[in-house]
Amino acid sequence: MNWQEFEDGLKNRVEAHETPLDTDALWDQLQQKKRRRLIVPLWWIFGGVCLLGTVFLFGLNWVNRSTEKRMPGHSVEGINEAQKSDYQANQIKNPNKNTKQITPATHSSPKHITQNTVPQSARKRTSSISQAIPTLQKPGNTDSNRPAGHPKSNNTTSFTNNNLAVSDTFTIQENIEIVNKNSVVESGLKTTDSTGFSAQGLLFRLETPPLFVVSTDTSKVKLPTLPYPFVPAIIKPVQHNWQVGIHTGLYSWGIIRSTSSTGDTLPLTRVNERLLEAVIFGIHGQKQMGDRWRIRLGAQYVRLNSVFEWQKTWLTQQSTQDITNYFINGDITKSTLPGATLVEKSRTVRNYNQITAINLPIDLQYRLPVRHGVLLPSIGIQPNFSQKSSGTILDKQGQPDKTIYSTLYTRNLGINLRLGLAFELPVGKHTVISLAPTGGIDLANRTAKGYAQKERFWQFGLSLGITRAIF
Amino acid sequence: MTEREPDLFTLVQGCIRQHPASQKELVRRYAASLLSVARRYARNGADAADILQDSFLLVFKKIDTFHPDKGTLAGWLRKIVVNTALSHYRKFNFSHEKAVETLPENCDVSPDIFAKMGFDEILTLVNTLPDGAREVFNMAVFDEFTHDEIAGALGIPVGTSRSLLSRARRILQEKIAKIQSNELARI
Repeated sequence: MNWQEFEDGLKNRVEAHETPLDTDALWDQLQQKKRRRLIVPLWWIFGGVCLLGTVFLFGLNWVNRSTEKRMPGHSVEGINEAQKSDYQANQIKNPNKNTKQITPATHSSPKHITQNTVPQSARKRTSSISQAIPTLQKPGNTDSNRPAGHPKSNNTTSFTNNNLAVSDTFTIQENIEIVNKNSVVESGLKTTDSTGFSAQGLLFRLETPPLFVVSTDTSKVKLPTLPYPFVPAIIKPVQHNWQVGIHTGLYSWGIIRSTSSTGDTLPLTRVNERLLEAVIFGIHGQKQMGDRWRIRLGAQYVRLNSVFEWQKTWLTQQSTQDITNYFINGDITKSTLPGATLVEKSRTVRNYNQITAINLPIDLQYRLPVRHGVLLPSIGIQPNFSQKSSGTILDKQGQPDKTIYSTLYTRNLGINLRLGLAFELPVGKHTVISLAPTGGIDLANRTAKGYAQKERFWQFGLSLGITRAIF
Repeated sequence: MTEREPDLFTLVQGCIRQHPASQKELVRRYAASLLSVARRYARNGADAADILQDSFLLVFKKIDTFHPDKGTLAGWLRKIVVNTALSHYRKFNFSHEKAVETLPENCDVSPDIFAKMGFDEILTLVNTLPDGAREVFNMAVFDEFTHDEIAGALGIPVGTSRSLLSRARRILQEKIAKIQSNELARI
């Protein structure tokens, strides 16, 4: 036999041979091996997202820090009796110096007009005037520096009264806090400072602090990095690899506790907070990885709104001092500076909180078949961008008047840990409905730089979703 | 009523879309023959099972690169198994042969002997070949690789591939001839 025949002889005995084996067992082993291989990339993805989020978070904090340095404080909690005495002594010793310090907002009326009595029309008028004036002028320069097309007011009395009504409040605040040059109204109306100042760039600052002096101001607590909902895992039969869906949820939330900077528990000043909205909408996509594991990515829009009331307390002056106000449009009026005696006033103020957030949840879910559906415990992370605004509601429509009472905005980028449990119920071959409790609890205090209070929140709700297999 | 088995095209399309049912059907159809291929290259049963599993995972991942014009699915799967087995034993200690062994024109083996040998006997014989010669013989004779392909896959010169094949032939011929003589002696 030649070598070709030798090789063919061997080959014929080998070529068609099949080794018997249990293909079901082999399939199970393949599935296990496939899952083991997926774990490594998932951890890499998880690590990468955490790293990027951390870097971004540091960047954002750095930017926020720069902004906050420019924001004056506006709490009178720090004013004690000794400071009151110092202030009074300073008033007596050098009243002119104090006048310069409180410069910006000092065209008050002889009598104190409370904020609640300010007509809405007056506030709007003030605002429009503020924004129409590009720069402020020094005292004494009247007609020569008047902007083109801005005639001298023929309605001096009413205009002045409007301003007086509004600025009266700020006069009080300025005297207490000594510095508050970022206020929209003060920068837009006039100056009695001999050097004058420019209001350009200040009129539209969103960071302008609230205009009231408050003894206990929990609205200033930097709210959420929301540990927002583990909204449901949405579902689908396992034989489909890719699914997409939508979900929505309603929930309630509140404060667990509020503590001072020293760690003392404070009374909950917002126990009467009334929730107007607490909703979440989202879309999601998910990929099945074998029979058990599933990865789910989503995007959620979260919004909540609430109103609450509290007793504001502030300090004001009892006796007054007349001064002359020089307006940029040429008007000259008289107003009153506060005197040296500090008195405490208080009244109830209605405030609002509004939180808007975009969440990008990433969940790893595990399917546990039960009688009528599937339970899905899950773990994941959630980069989130949230914005909270707080302000005072004063108009009749129940909306904050942003032109007068500026809003405090805080923006946060955070990463939340997500733990969840959802139930999925098949409705047809390709569609599944899911139901999931939605809950969260703060593990760390929410606070803001410059404020003493710290708060922790809870939230709980129910989320409903529908998902359809795409292939 | 029994479910009709999917044709080859449907099966491949299902695997391309990563449908578990299609993948499982592929395993059911080809696992037995591919395990035989894996056993020829593996040094023990556990390695053969590993090679088979790794091969199927690679098949599921790369099934979209299979072109029916370039060969049969069975041939493509077989090559995947061979390549997986080769990468399983990456470090070959080949002595790079400088010269091709000169073999006689004919081998001294009766054709009848093959009829008396089963797969396992042949496998046992092939496994006695030294490293390198065994792989080259498997690839060249059973799996129809060319010497260029073998050289590329093993990272050896083409001449070495030829030399290893010649050596494998000679060794196997000697062993089979010995079996044959034992058979005759028994008679």
